[in-house]
Amino acid sequence: MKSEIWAIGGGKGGTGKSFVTSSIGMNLAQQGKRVTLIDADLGGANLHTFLRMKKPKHSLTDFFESKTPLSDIIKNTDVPNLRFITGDVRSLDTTGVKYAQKLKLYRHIRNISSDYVLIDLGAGSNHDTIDSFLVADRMIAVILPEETSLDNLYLFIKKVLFRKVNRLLGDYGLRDIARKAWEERNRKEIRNIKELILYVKNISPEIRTLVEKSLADFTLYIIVNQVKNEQHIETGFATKSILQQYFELDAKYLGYIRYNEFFWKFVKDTNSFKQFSPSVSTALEIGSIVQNLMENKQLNLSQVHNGI
Amino acid sequence: MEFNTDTLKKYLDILDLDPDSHPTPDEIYRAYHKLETFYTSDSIVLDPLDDELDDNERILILQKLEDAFHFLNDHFKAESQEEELLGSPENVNIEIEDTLVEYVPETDWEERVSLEDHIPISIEQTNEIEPEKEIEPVITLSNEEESENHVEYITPPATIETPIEIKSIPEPPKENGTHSLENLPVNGLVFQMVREKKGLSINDLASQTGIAERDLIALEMEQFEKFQEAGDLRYFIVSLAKALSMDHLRAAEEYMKRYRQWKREHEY
Repeated sequence: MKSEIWAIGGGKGGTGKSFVTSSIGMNLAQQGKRVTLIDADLGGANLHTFLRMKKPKHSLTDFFESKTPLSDIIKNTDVPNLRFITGDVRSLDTTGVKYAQKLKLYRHIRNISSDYVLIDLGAGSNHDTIDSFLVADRMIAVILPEETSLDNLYLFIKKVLFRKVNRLLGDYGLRDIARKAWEERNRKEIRNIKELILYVKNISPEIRTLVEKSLADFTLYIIVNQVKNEQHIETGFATKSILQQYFELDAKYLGYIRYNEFFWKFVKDTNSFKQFSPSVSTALEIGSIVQNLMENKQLNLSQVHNGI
Repeated sequence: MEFNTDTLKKYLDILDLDPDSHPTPDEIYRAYHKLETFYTSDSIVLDPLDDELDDNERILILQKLEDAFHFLNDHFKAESQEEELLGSPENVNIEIEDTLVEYVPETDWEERVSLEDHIPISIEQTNEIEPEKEIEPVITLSNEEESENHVEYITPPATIETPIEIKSIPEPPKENGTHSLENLPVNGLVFQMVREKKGLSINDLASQTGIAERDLIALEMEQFEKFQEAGDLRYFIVSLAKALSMDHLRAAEEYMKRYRQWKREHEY
């Protein structure tokens, strides 16, 4: 049976993607699911730190360059059911990886004997990162309730849209149309990605249908991290609304994680990040997010008002 | 308990309500109001989009939210009215005025202008227009008759069997004999007139917009009962208006108003 792939990304900024990835992974593993975490973070693959592991010898770079099989690169962790692949600085966020190689990697990833594969894309937003994002079954963005974080998210989304549309056109031998249109955007009065997509849709009814279908398939799952008040919680709903109404993408608000100043103290002192005590509020919040992911549900207003 | 249809779930989702729930009018209104406030204020979520999410876009979005509100309110109000009849505890019925939510962009007080001044009106004029021709306040379309002052380009589509009486449209203001189709409040008949002035058939428009011919006809005839979802209707109107080089925002606003009025009159 093929594994389900969840990608965690969303663009620049230390929003806590690695933390969220490892937390979700651990939660699933503790439920008895087989989980493989993949660290594809350019900013310094550091997922292993969260797992209290030494940096592994083999990485995805070896997969690409030495054709080392994934099974040799996957490492067990101290947590049962939880395994781990490190990306290395060079592996997924360089433009050097050929498309065919990426496809090969995705095929292999799909066939890892895991129930869930979680890919931490970190801060990356180039083609490789975005393609990895697009290949996932669930695309998860972690944001902070700060303007820069939203700014980065929108930038990321625009790149994703652009990439998606370009790839689609490429499949029909029209690869350069979107790119050229964007380059000539002043002349064509295309002001932003939305208008570019409209332009592409108007090329022909067939293209329009394809683009609409492609975008209808796309759902972005939102997690707001380091929430300190109710307004921060609202950021998730607001972001979801903008994505739906302005970017015209399907979006779901998975949940939020409260800022917990005791959390890091807890981790450092007890060195027991791996042992999540269910009474820790963060663990509960993660659990709720995971449940929403598995049941394809999301946060709604009444849950927030009544207190989860 | 009835389960919610996909359409209902979609509208519930837009307002961040539980898709399996049957919200009270109060809950619906509060959910709508929260989003309305969001889109008419500044926030960290909106500020990064300042240069591209302009006033027109906000208005469009607010319209969609308003439609969602109306749809859900109408739907669940009907349910709660039923409950009242059956002796349930009192419900609070909250209605919002059926007006466009006023969004005034931030400007200096001196420069503050009404949004209406911003909205451009741009219906093409062609040479075929004779300025002296007026539009009759009441026009009956039928296959047989043609009234004296009947504007010659109005012809009923071939597939319409029964004569339809179009309710009155206000007389356009007369300005130095210039043709004033653009000043008419938009309704189905106006769409038809604009279309015919451009020399387009229903078939042409169908090809251009991707909207089915029968739907285009229903739009022009204001056969509202043929449209299940307000959202779809608005989408058609906007597409149609754009294809006819009309101001799509105004068209949507005015046409949907008529739709809602019809809905209210046809509720049980």
